[in-house]
Amino acid sequence: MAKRIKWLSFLFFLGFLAVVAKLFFWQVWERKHLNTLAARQYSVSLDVPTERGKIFDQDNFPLVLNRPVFLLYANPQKLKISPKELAEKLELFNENKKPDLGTFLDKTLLWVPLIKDFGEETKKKIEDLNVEGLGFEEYQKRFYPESSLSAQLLGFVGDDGQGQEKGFFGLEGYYDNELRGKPGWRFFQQDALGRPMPIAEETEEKSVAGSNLFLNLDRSLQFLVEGRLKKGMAKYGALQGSVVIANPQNGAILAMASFPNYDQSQYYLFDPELYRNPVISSSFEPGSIFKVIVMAIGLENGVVKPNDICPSCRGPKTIADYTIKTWNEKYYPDSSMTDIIVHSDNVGMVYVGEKIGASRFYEFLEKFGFGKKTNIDLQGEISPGLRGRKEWREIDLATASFGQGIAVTPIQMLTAVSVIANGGTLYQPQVVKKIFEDNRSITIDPIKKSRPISGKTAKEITTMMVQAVERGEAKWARPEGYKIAGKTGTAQIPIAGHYDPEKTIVSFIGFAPADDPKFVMLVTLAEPKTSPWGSETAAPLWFEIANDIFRLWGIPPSY
Amino acid sequence: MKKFMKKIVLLIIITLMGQFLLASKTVVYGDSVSILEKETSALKRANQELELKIASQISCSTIARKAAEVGFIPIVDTNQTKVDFSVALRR
Repeated sequence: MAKRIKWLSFLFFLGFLAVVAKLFFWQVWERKHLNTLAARQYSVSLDVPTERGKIFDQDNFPLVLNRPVFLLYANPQKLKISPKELAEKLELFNENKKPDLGTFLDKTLLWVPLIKDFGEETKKKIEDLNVEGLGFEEYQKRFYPESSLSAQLLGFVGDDGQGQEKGFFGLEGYYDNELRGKPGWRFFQQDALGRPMPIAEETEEKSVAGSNLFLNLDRSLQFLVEGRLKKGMAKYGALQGSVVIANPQNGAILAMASFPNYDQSQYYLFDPELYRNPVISSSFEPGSIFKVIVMAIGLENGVVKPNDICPSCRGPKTIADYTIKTWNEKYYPDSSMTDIIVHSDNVGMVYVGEKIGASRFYEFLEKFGFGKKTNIDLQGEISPGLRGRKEWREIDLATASFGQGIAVTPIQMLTAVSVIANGGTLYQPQVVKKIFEDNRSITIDPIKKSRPISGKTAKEITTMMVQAVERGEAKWARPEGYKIAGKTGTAQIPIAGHYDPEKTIVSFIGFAPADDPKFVMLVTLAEPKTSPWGSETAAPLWFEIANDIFRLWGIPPSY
Repeated sequence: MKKFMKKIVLLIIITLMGQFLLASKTVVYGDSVSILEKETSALKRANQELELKIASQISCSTIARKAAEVGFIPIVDTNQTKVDFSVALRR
């Protein structure tokens, strides 16, 4: 009996040891693995996506929004139908493109993307097919209510190469950090039905939504400008065209359009060259529109006065091996400085340039902002360099005085002429008026950079520009009743060390009403076919847009 | 001893009931949080859809298209220039 009890006790002891061993196995040896398995069951870690900031025009109308779109994927391990059948079922939703069937045969895969960028309606239709093994992933995509309006100004959102969204070009590129926001995460415990358990530990890092941008851009004006520019380019047979309009009193950009452009929502279908905004990323020799800047420098330095007579305007001017002529080879011996601007007289401008002198000329070009970026808040701005202060030969000064042999960007030119329009202050051009982040609004005040000329000089050159519009080559196209200050330009295009004899870049720059300018505008057209002259192409287009602005803003005629 | 055992059993029953009540309250709370989250998300979605629809409806291109459909034409340049082509033709 005692022996049996001993055996029984021994067996119990063995059993107890086995239990202890198993417990040791589960609780110590396999602890980490089992803990992980358990945590997977009751712990949830979610990424909380953030929304990219929206972009609004000056009337708070959205130019860029986000819309939810879906990606359809398949899990080949769970698919119950053949790949061929699946491909046929999905053909309707995939712009008649059949997915790659080979991937479905690989049963080791868990996730095969099928169709992307479709909306809720298509999602419902696919769900109605009741195909097992299909799933959806939701994400946000940029939506443009105005389609490709101001595409080059807005830029686009693409992939940064590591699967993250990134803004490229224009505002999307420049303000990418502000717009992108910061995604968050949430860690909590759930019950068997996936409901959160409030008594358990919950940690969270809130996502920060991207900041919204409010622009100075006037959507209606932008729409009108794009329409006019498109028609103008077709009418004059131009290869490329740009229009930029700003408020000269503070540097606010009101409209900026260029053609050809691209569709931001399908940017990948277009030539990447079109992503660049010509207004800030291309340079050109400005030609005669530059004369107003040179004349302003002359007036500011007191080397010429509006009624001074040009002593060397009787005929062509010879400098070194070059002969400088007027555009129509007509000469006006008793031209005043105003007449030089009105007739767009190259020889007269050479006289003004000589009076200024190379050193002072260079100094004032810098004061007007040439040779450096305007720092406009758009990605992709370039600045063609100025010839060094001591590198100006006599011929360089002569050609630059009528706008050849010097390169500028359209935005530099517009900013410089704004100085004349506002009475002498150089403002930094600004596209964004306000940044709204986290219930906090940051208003961007106008940035005054310098004061290149006095109010008196600005008035004098304005009067000359008004005369240029009223008596110059483009007078036939100007709107009646409005006092407009402007200047036409026709510049030759440099190619391989000389100028193309046929092709020109035509332009018109000006502001209105001249006494109290509400806008300053630059129109440029590259290689127009109907006429090589700015007065017959860019100028009428400028006046058409100006007419639209007068109507849109209710600016009455002054006489 | 019997009295003590009774007290222990009663205490266990009360504790179990307490645990049961707490657990059910937690589940109800979790359920309402879950429902609220779903509702918030649905409202956000509806709001976003409305925002997109409104923006599309009042975009300049839509307005211009609808205006053209109902017969509006662009304003004629009533204050336009006396067109003097003589200068232009000379150039």
